[in-house]
Amino acid sequence: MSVKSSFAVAVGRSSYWFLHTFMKGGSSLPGKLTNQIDPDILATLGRDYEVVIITGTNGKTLTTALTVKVLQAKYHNILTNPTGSNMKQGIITAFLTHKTGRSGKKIAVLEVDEANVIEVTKYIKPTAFVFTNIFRDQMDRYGELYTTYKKILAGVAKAPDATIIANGDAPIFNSQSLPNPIIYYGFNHQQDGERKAPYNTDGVLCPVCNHILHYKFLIYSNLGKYYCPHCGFSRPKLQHSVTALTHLTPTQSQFVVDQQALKINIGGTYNIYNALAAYSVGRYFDIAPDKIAQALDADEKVFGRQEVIQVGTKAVTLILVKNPVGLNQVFNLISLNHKPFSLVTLLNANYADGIDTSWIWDSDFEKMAAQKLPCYIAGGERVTDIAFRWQVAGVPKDSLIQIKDLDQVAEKIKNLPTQQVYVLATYTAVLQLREKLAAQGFIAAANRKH
Amino acid sequence: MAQVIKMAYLYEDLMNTYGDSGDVKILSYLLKKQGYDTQVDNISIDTADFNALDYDFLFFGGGQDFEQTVVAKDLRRFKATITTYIEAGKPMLAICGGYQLLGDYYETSEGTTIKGLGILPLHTIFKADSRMIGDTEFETEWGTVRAFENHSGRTYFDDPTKLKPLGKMVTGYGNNPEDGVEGMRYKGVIGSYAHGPLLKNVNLAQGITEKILACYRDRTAALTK
Repeated sequence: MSVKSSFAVAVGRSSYWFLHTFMKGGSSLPGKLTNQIDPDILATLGRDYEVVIITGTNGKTLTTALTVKVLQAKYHNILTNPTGSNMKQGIITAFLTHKTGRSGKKIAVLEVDEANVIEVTKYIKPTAFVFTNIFRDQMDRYGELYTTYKKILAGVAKAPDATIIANGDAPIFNSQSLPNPIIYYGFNHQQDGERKAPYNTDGVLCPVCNHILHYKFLIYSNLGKYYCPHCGFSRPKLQHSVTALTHLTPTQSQFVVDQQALKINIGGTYNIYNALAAYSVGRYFDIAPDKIAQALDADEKVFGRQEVIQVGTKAVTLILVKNPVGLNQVFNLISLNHKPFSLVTLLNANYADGIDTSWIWDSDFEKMAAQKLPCYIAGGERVTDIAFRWQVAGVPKDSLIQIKDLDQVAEKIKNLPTQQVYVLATYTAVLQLREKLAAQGFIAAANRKH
Repeated sequence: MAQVIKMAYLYEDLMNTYGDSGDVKILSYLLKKQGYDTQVDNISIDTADFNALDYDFLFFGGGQDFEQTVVAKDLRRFKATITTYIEAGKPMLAICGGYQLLGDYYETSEGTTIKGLGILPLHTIFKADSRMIGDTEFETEWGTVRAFENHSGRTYFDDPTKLKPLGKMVTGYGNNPEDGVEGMRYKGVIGSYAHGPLLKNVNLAQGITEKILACYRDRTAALTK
């Protein structure tokens, strides 16, 4: 390590120690300081690691967590970055603060923001990339599908030898010819049929001839066994595939991948994709399928985003939503629940939520309205927008409660007609609601996340 | 028998990115409250024939850049029928990319000129480095409208005697940073950059609903003659 790098690392580590000893913590400042002293510091820090970069618009966090779990079945020196620290500075901090010491191969499993892939690959040549998917996600900030993919590929161009492990059901990941070796994963659990994606789906043009893609079967959004009837472009051969869905509930999925039965303690088809990605990375590192199965059957702490809070006699499940594809998936997930439940939707429009709320109109609220739930609550700063969305979807006025002030949500929840309640909320609405519930004593202090 | 209003959603499967499908859902909702059912047909690149005069309303939403270039090419097949429909004064709403494509051309940030339908005398220049994003508010014939804009295209009228703005800006950019106006009106056509969707402004949605019902009555009266 050069003198400059050593100094940079020392400053970064001591600032991290200071922040965590005397302040509330903070994960980007140490990285920022270190980076200012030595802009090439990632090259130094990452030198001895085999690096796996996980990127895509949805599912990065859980795929990263599951991949770490899977790799731990064989390796004991694994570094990863915490949720939300997926830009360059946060990644530098993760390297700075990782305690090495154990012998054996050093592996870094990094969740990296799409536009920041190049900021990492400029300095570190990863062993593998994982592409989860590219959906429309807060377009006021990130832009369109192909723009996002171009950003990722700009980073991949710096590492042409790295193996890409990609969602084979996503046509976009088959749209460019790349020098990298590619492993595809996907679903192969049903008979071929013939259909098109619903009209309201993004990314359905054939990247070769620009005609509309057809599907032998569709998993969700534009993911599935696609083919172009016009030019013959089609889904590539899958190396790892889901061959059966055995048992699905809102809180658990059992399925078969490459003849290995797998179980994850979280519901949702999108999470099966995340597990399948982690499985594929595990197989790439030559971990036996049954060992992967044990690792994936982990306790629920890995799956941080679905939280159940007891409010009076009600079991309240809190789920973060941020874009139409994600929300549709959550609608599908909660529809697996056969017991009666009420549905609370909270919409804010701060920067972290996405300042454009029009995406709610591209989600299938009609499907949830048709289920005629006992009660719908609309709330948050944009209560008018979300309430009108429910009305247009067909919820009668007497089943719809509107609450702008989140202080009242707990009180309303206590009086709901069902034992089970789902709260779907945008980012800052989740934070605000947790704060209110904590202040009102429904969340134990030790359990607070913020 | 229920009365069925027919709507053509131009390229619903490709120009569908910014929540504009909400405009069609809201119109269907308001018409339903008045006792009418609606049928929405997707008119797209695999549609063989399209006669706009079979419909009571045309909708054309915003899409992503790649999809929009593909649509621009295919759209020329329908130029004659859409022109006849518009000149007959029938109602149409075109948002963002759909609005741009009714004009003569748009110029991408890379400097490529892409031809539009050329029905309305307007053109659009893209400036990728200065996207106009944020909440908007403007005054229209139907009152105040609040929406959201997200576009790098700047639209200019080439014949201001023929085209009128939809509204006067109170907040936000609208057509372009210079003119202080939002959208366009020509006969029964409204063009606009307003997402949100635009028709969550029920005042404006009611105005369009009335035009649709008038068009429906004319079409069905002609059928029974």
